[in-house]
Amino acid sequence: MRDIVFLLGTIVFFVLGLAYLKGCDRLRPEK
Amino acid sequence: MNANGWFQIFLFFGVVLLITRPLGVFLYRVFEGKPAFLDFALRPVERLVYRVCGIDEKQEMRWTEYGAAMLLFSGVSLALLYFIQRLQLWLPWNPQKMTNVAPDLAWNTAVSFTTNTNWQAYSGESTMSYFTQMAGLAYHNFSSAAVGIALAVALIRGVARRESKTIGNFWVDTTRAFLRVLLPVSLVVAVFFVSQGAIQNFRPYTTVSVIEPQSVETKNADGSVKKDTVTTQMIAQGPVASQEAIKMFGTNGGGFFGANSTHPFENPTPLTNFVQMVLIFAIPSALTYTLGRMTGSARHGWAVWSAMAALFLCGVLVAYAFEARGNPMMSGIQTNTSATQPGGNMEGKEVRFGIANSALFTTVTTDASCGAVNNQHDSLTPLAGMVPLVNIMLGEVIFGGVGAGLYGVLVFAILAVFLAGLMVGRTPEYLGKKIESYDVQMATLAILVTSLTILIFSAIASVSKFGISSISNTGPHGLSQILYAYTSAVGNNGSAFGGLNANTLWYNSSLGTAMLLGRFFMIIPILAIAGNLARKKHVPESLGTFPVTGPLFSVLLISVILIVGALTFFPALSLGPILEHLMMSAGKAF
Repeated sequence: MRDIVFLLGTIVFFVLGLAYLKGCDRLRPEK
Repeated sequence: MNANGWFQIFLFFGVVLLITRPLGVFLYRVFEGKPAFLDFALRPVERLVYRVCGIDEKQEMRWTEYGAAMLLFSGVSLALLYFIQRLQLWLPWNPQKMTNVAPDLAWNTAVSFTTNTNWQAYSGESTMSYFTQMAGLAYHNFSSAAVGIALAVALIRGVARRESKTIGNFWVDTTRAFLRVLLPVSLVVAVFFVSQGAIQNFRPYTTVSVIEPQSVETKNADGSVKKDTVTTQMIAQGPVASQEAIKMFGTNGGGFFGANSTHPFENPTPLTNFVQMVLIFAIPSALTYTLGRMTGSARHGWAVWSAMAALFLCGVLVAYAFEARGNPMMSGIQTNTSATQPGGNMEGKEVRFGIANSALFTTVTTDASCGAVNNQHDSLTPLAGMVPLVNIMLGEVIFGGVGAGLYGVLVFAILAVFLAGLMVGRTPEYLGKKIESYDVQMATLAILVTSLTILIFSAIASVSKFGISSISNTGPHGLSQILYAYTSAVGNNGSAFGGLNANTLWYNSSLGTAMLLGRFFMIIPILAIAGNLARKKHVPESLGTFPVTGPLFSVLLISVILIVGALTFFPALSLGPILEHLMMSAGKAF
């Protein structure tokens, strides 16, 4: 059970990381 | 303090200075694809790697592609290490039949080694199989360091390039850092460590008879005392030297044994101790020269190096001074220096290394994001113990981790030129690039993410039962233990203050989360700065340009680093080590 929680948590983190990356890119002026 | 101690400190400093230029030139040549040392042997291997992995060496990436590749690579590497630990009982090279690592500890360790932190809530010799140590942990020592170097080079390209949409290729940069830089040096150093007495084998642990049997008394649950006589001792074995080399050169810091570099199999002689410290600073120091070379301003590289060097010397001075002075509460016993008495505070220190080399190692390992230890930081006097804490809190930009130190200090450099621009009323410029609001926003974001993560997690742990139950000292020292753990995790340092039982569900989960945030949520805005700077036009220097090549810039850079660090962390430090120092002076210890 804990394996699933930690692995899902990891996937969520890296998906959030990609969203954060996208968000930083969107903030950029003169795209 | 004595002349011998200072001689060794300045000898170390001199050697680091000497290798900065040649290694910096080598890094420049490797990452710019120019002819470099060992091309004849390693270039064909590099091409083979690209062919096998389907990588087009010439294909460049935008910063978002570079960042996504970095996240993908790190995520997959993390999962791989997690599964190796969870399955190690059934994998090869496990002569001690180490059981599978528990999920929370396995996750914490997987995150820790993927993020170049190497925080260890376990002792390697009683937890990890040889396969896990080599294929899992040592592999990550290489890969996380290679990623750090790649990111620093990408940021330098961002500064150096003009009107470019791309900042390099993540796969090519990582392969080159791994294959051309880390691997050859680690191989040579591992052989050197073996020559000095570090072990390298796959044997089961050795059981030996002790010279003098020891009586041990243990208390049973019913209060009765049980007496045992210990006649044998188990000596752990393993492939130590190969892991030790990259542990230091990649500023990873995770020891094969729980005792880390205090263990004679990891750090057998004063010479290996010296070489280990030089290895920690080698790449971070050289990268400042690479920065200067790639941006066409060698003097800027040296200005950054000078700022780092000044902060390093301040740190080692404070640590050495307070350790040499010792604990005033022990004034009744002999603490002066003699042939048999080293003087000062020897608690938690390896007598082979003494106070000067312990203070130096402590400063070096926390200036960089290494985290290896040759003495126990929990046993340092309060203000000497504050030095490693402050070093990490400042963002580990005093040479810093491989790559991480350079991209960290460039964030402060951008803030420094921004402040200088505000002072003279001109648009700030950094090496011919206008620094605009977006760059400052991203720089601020990178700093805020790390500071907030440290303080929020420390605050929760300090007031909760699950946080406090793990500390071994009350009062300000207990707070220091918690604060150090989260600072070390977020700063991706990995050294432990000691005294904190971190192998609990709360600490494994929260420290793991802190490591991830400290690594990746800092890197992403930095890559955004790289991408944004790369596409800008070059602006010629004018009378209004703040020069970033001289002592004035170095002083401004130091000031910005110290002010940001002090404003953020002084309240927490005043409740921890500073209060503990004052109370120790008043005769109360914790």
